[in-house]
Parts: sequence; structure tokens; C-alpha cells
Amino acid sequence: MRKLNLIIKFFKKIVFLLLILFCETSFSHEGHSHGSSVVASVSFDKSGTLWRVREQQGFVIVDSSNDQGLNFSKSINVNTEFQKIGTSGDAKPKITIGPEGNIYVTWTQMLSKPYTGYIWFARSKDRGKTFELPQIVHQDKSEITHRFDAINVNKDGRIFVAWVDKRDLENAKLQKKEKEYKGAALYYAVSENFGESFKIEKKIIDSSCECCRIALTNDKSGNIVAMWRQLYDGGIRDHAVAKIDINGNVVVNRATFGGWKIDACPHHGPVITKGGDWGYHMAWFDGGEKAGLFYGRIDGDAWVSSPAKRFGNINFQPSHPSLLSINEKVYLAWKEINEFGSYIVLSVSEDGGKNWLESKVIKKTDGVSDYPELIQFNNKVFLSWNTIKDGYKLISLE
Amino acid sequence: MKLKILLIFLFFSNFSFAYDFMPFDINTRKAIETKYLNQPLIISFWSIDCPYCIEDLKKLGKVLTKNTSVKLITVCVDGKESAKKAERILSQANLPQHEQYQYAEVDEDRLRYSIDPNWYGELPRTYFYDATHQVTPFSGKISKAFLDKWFKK
Repeated sequence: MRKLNLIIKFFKKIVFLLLILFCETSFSHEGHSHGSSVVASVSFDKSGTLWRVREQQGFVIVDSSNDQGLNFSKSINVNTEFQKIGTSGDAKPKITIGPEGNIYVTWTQMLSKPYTGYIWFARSKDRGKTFELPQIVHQDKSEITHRFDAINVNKDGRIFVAWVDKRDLENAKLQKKEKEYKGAALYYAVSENFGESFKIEKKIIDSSCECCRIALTNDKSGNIVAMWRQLYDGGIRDHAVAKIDINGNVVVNRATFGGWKIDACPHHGPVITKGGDWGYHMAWFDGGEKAGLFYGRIDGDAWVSSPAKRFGNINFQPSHPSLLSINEKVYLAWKEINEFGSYIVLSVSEDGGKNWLESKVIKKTDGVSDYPELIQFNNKVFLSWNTIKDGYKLISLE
Repeated sequence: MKLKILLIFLFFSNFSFAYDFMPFDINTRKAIETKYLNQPLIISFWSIDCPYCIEDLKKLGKVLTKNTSVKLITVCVDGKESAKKAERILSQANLPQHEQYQYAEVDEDRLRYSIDPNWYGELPRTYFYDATHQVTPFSGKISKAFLDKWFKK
């Protein structure tokens, strides 16, 4: 009988221990959970429905609006299992729509080792009712940096996804090369079957900046034009442009000459958009002594850039620009901050970026906000901006 | 009985989170400056997401073991959901005992602006205070030459 009592006591203690263990795991799980992030990306489909992607508690969620951003449908989850999704610094999930009407979403899953991630892609073939099972875009599945996804779909529906990738840096470390590998690399993968699958990834360039978003656009023939922050000799972080044609030929040129010398993570990538037949509009951030926001043009043949023009009030940290161009009209929006909150400033040019009208504050918020995005439907231009306090704003621009 | 005490101890140790980060808000920089008035000080802002930051922290750790009169403060700019990871990284940097902070403001932009309107968020960002609190801000990886010069002063 005493023996039985002892056994019961022993089991009670085991149960108690298990309970504590349970408490501990539930607490450590708390460490993973976080609220929804402020970042949002949007795109119009051909019928004028606005599609929006955000991150909410480990899920990429998509919803849509038929009244220009006033009301949104019930959102659906794109990933089926909880992931830590890149939403800070320059990272956010993206949404874009193919000419055939497919909806595409990309995002970066953060893995457990520092700076590591996978680039995910998911598509909807039924106008956003359902998303197919997401796929990882790259075939290299090692736990290293694959981050800062960017997506562009051309007029033929060819999908181009680019990202920052550290496989070459990791290899260089293993081989203990005498010359240190600087920065990361840019890789891309292409789908020519409307997102069914991606071809094996290829490299665009070595020694890109490690932590800045990549800007993508395309030309009349459907070739890709990319712009990003590149690590030049002497630790200079200026921007490069590349034309990556449909056959995979890559031509890289230097696009900006600010000379910002720094070994740091700026978390601040550029934007590029197609102008007239002459070439492209660009906007970017430079740090250092002459820190600020700049605009320039670059031609699409010799890739010569115009002198950089400064925008924004330097006392209020002009940053994270967005660009859109329709014929000769160019829209440049950016974010500024002060001690009360943040606001979006807009500048417009009516002659292809040669002269600019006085810039105007478009919208303010006194809480957390995303970066601005300029989007268009037919020939109408909108500012898309997500804020915590004032909600999501889609503002029609003249 | 002994087992019970042990269990109770274990139980409570779970609640007193292992992370030692203090909250860094809009008033914290001023508070630190006041607390360490007339003392040389280094405030280092870093992120688990920034490879240069970790190298820098290790470098600072090395120099500071030889220069114990200089106070070190580290501020992790990632939210508290990253505390576990941040704690792990920090513990591997061999830093002397110091005050560890973590951002505790939802509006990171505003917090950053209040810390320093000339800082755009590039990391690492380090502020070197001499004994009279003349501040030298530094963005990016700190060179050995800079450190030698500053510590000689």
C-alpha cells in the first residue's frame, strides 16, 4: 500500500513537471507572435478592382476593393502555415497582375539564422478566389540570405522575380579566398508558363548591397530593366542599372554617382520607371554628408544619367520614393517625418522630368505608416499609403 | 519538499523572462545622457538584421575591455518579438557588462527622428560621447583607425 502511495506521488510530480514544461513552451511561443505590420502593396486589375497584399500574424493576406480603397473584401490567407515574413527595413510582400488576369504574390520568409530567408511565390488563377499552394522561387534551398524579393510581369505574361542572394559570399567564405567577397549578389528566376513553375535561377551581378529593395520595370520589347544599390570599389554604395533581356543577356551600367562610402545596411532601395522612348526615370536615396532624396533620368541605349536633382526637405528625412510616368507627366512621391508623425509629399513634372512644379504635402498621419506607392488605372494616378491610425488610403491625384 | 521548492523556483524563473533588455523610448537618450553626465559613453544602435552590426559590437567589446572607463550602451532596434534572437547574438559578442536596451516604441520612424533627426536608419549607428559629452555620430562599420583615434583623445 505504501508503495502504491509512493508511485501515485511520483506520478503527481511528473504531471506537475509536465505542466511547467507546457507553460514554458507556451511562453516561448509568445516570442514568435506579433501583430500585423503596416506594409501594404497594391495593384489594379483590368476591371479596376484594387488588389491588396499585407502581412498579418505570420500570414500573407490578400483582399480587394471595388470602390477605390474605401471598402475591402474579406481577406484570404496565401501561405498555409505560419511563417515569419519580411516586413521591416525595405521588405514587404508584393502583388502584381498578369495580362491574362492571374494574380501573383511574392514575399520573403525569414528563417531562423540571422539574415537568412526564402523567396516565395503564389498565384491565383480564379481572380483571387483562391491561391494555389505557394512555391519557393529558387532551387538553392540552403539556409542563407535569399531576401528582398521583387517581381515584374511583362506584356506577354513572362514573370521575373529577383532577390538579394548570398550563396557566392558563403562559397567564398568556404574557399577562404584571399580577396574578401564584398556585399551580396542579385539573382533572378523566370516563369514562362504564367507562374506554373520557375526556371533555375541565374545571377545578375556580384557585390550588391545586402539590405535594399530592388526596383524592376520593363521596356517595350518586354526586357527587364533593374535598378539597385551596388557596392563599388572603396565601399561606395551607388546605384546600378541592368538590362536583362529575354534571352538572359545582362548589361550593367552605373546609374548614380553620389559617392556614399559606408559599410552599413541603408535599408533604402531605389525606384525606376519607364519614361518616353528616350529611357527611364529614377529616384533614390543617398546618405552621408549630402544625404537626401534624388531624381535623375537615364537613357536606355548608352545608359548615361542626367545630373541628380535633389527633392524634399532635408530637415525631415525625405525617403523611400515612388515614381510613375504617363506620357510626359511624371509623379514623384516620398515620405518625410517629423516629431509628430509622417506625411507624403508629391512633386509633378509635366515635361518628362525636366522641370518640376512645387511639391505639395498630400496626406499626414500621426502614427506609424508605410512607404508611398504610386499606381495607375487607365490614365488615372493614385497614391496608395497604409497607416495604422488613419487606416488605408487610396488618394486620386490630379 | 525539496523537490517542491525546486519546482516553485523553476516555475517562477519562467515568468521572469530571460531577456535583460530595458525599453528604449523617446525619452531614453536624454535619460542616459543625464545619468552618465561627465563620463565618456558609447551608444550603439544595432539590429539582428544587420551583418555589419555584429562585427562592430565584437570590435567594440574588444576595445572596451582595455578602456573600462568608457560606458557602453547597446540599443537593439528590433521589436520585442526578436528579443530572444537579439539576446543570443549579443551574448556571443563578448561585450563587457552593460545596459542593454531594445526599441519600445511602435512608431520607429518617430523614435528615430527623436533620437537624431540626421539619422536615416542606416545601421550600425554609433554615438561616441567624450567626457564633456561632445558627440561624434558614426554610421556604418567603425574603422580601427577611428577607434584608436577616439580612445586616445
